[in-house]
Amino acid sequence: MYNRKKRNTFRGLLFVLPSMAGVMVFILVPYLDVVRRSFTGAVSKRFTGFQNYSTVLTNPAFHLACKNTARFAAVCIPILIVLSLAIAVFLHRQGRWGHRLKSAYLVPMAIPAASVVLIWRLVFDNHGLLNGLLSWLHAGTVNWMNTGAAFWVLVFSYIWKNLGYDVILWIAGLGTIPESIYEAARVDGAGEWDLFFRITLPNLFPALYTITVLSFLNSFKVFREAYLVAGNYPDDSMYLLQHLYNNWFRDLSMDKMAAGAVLMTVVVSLLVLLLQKAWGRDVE
Amino acid sequence: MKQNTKKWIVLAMAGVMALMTLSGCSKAEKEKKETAMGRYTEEEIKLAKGAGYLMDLQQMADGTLRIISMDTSSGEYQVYSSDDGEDWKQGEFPVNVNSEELRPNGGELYLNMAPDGEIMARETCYDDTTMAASNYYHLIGTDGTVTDLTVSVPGSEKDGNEVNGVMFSDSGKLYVTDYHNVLYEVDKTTGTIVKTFDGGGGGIRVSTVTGSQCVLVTDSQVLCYDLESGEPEKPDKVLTDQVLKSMGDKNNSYGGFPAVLFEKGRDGGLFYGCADGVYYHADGGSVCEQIINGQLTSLANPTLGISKMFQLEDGSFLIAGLENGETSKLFRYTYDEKTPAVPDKELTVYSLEDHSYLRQAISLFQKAHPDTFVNLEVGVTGEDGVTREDALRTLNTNILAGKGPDVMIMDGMPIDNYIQKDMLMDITDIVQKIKKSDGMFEYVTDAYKTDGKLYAVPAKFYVPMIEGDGDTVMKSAGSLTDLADRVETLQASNPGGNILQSMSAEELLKELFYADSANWGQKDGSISEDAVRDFLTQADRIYNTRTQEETGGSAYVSNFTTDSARDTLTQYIMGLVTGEGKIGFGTLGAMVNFATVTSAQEQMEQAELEYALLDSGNKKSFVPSVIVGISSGTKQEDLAGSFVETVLGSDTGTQGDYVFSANKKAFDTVKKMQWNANGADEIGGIAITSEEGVLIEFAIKKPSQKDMDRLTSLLESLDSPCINDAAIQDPVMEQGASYLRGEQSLEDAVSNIMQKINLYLDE
Repeated sequence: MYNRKKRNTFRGLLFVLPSMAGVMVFILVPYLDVVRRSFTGAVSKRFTGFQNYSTVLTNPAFHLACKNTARFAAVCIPILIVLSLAIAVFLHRQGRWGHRLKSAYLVPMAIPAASVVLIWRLVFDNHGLLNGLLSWLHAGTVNWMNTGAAFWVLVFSYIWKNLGYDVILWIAGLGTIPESIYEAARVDGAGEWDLFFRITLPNLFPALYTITVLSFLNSFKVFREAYLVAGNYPDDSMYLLQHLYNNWFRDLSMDKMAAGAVLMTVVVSLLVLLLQKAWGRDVE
Repeated sequence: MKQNTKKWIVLAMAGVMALMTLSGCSKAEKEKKETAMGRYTEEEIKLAKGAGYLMDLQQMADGTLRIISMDTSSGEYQVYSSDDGEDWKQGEFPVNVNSEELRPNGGELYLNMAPDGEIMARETCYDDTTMAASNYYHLIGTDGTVTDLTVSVPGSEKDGNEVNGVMFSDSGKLYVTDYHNVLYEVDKTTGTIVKTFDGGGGGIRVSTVTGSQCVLVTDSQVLCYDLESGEPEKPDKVLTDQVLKSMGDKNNSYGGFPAVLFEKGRDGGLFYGCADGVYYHADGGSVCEQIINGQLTSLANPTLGISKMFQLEDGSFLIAGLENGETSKLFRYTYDEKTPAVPDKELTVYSLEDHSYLRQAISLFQKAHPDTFVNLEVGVTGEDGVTREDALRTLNTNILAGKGPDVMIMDGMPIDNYIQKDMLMDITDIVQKIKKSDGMFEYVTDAYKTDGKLYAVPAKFYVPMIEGDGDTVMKSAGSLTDLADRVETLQASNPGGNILQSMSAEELLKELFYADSANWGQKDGSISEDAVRDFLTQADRIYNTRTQEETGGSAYVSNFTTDSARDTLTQYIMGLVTGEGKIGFGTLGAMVNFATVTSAQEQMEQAELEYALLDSGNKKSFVPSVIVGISSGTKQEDLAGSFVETVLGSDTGTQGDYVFSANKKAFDTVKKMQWNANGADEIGGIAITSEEGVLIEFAIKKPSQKDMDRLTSLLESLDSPCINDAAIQDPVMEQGASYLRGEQSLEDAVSNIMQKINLYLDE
């Protein structure tokens, strides 16, 4: 009996081994190299102790990038989650018609970044469509890409692109809630808001964790559009950590990059663990 | 038991397979180690003393070689012959070609020889007012009879079309080419055109006669015609693709010679020579085989224009050309089976952009080190959409992977950053050695001096200059404010007239940036906001004096890609000559272009033009270029050091357009040397139309000794490099141009520029 259990464990490990090897080779080992590099010089590879961390933590560009990245996540993720949930609930109630409409929300994901950038340039340029409209309305034009407005352009871009994905995830979550619970509540005289707050929301809590983590990770991908629209040095308000890493790589500042990456991993891991803990308690 | 046996068999088979694979690998390794032997090696053939300028080289019917040359000091023509291309003996022309009889109109005489010894003498004269050329022809027979011919090509009366080349076929027939490269067979007795080879009416890039064939390279194909029948041969796609690829966008090599030369092989195949090397294409073959790698020979030298190619009896090749537009060269390429097919050593040189100066250095280095192949890697070729940023990232990845270059040309790269990261070797000793032997402009070599050491040294430089009437130059050369004041004053006294030749906002900002940016840096390493504000203010004042609206903004191209576009002063000086402007300013980087500055003075005698450095603030700035350094990761320190010596050496500095080299000896040599192959002071001429529509003939002459000395003292007064960092220059150009065009306010532009620069500096 004991031998069979041992053999099963061994077989299980064999199944996991290929993917584990992939993760080791492509993620864990390179990451360990990044950790090693965070304690050495960029090219000389001399041990520098915590010098790189000290340089990064006192770097004004790093401060600005961290602040903007955090601000971006703090603004975008709640908006995206609430908006996508509202649309998902609405679509879920529409039946077949809603099912068709759902696909429309996925269109932005299918548009290549280069095309999106072209549209953004047309819309947000000083002489672009949006300023043309504002000028027609006598509302005064805005330098979208070189003022604080650039941040909101980025927020809009992120939400536009990711809304459909989150809507799909919410709809999948909504589909797991049995209709019988709603029917029983209705028989007991519950109103629509009661149904939403007392049945729908609590049942969507496990999905919320996944959606939040995915939305957070997707928020890093917005850099692609930001970089293509505004280049290496965009307006201060949309200068993200990825801009900084991109520029450090160009300047061969591997030492700073490695230290920054380790710090960022620590922060992101802590955030995910915190979320996990909070969700776990609430679900319990 | 049975199962166990199976397992063992499978394991044994796997083991055998693994062993076979390993043994296969080692065999391959062994094969790899066996060096392939055999390569064409280059040998420069010394021409006969006094041969001077090589006008024609011909392989005679009896296999001997004959050269027609011109003595540059006396202007006399000579003929030399040789059996093998080694020993040249002076011969005699059938008639005295130096007599006035062949040049009754006092024009320039060109001589071309047929394999049977006949000579075609062509006298070219230019009309004083229209600059239109007209030719007079004399065919000199082997027995000394001279037949005067009149050759008229289509369009000669209507659009001034004329003959610009003469050649003979192996059978002695006469052919001429015109301005459109159309090839004509001419009757030697009457001068009438017998056959026309026009490439089907499309644009012809090169046309030539070889053996019994003529080859025409058009924009889209290579056409071969049989000379006797005049019929085209079947188009050869393989040949077309390779020839067009080798030519790129060039129609001519340096000095106006064709970019490719053709030579009919004895087996019916075709050889062609170009800067890439010599290729062979068998008749109907499926490949063009490179038999001589141009990179390993002088063919890759960008200042060599190749004019003739022959294959000799023993299979070796003779290629004649003109180096630097003045020195005739003759090379023999002989197959040596004892020389490795590729050189033993390889030196990798990386540059973001291709520099002709660098190519010259590589060619010279290659010649001195035949056992080394210099692999030039160009990051931004303009052919694949790779940007400077992309190229730098790829370079960094290679450096981190231990596959970085040995030598780096750091124009457009973050030099200070690389120095800080110990990526560059200290090359102070190399520079000191050159300083000792040749002397160097110290302000140029020390441009990137860090802690008393030199890690990156510019090989050449440009200098911002201004030319205009004496009063203007005196009052405006010292600061941008003075320049703007003067431009506005001139505008007020000349309402509606042009003060500056048409410049886009980006072009204006670029020129002023070179003159002013050296003053922007502050002690703490930051950039002064006030300096940027003042720069934009003055640039705006100058920009607003223009009388014509820009037809369309020329997109700003990051400065590192514009090395060839930096020598801009000559372009703006043309406005002074034509009356389209009163002031011309820009950067100057070559002695040949300085000749335009001094020639403009002579041309506009009444305007009393003056030239001076365009500087601003306390700094006299220059623009460093071809900034060379050795990667600290190189495993070939000595070889890399020798290459840097070549780049900074006097030989490289005296090539091409005589750029302003950091090497003083090169500079002094250029001042003393003859600039024209025929020894004349005039080195070129331009015909331009004035504002009133009058054709102006603008002769460009070598500057006088006085001007040369003055230039030397001006260059010696320089002290600071302009900002040469694209991350700083780019926002200034982009936001500045937007401000000049009225798309944003001054404060917004300054704020945007400073925000981007500060972010970059903070990183």
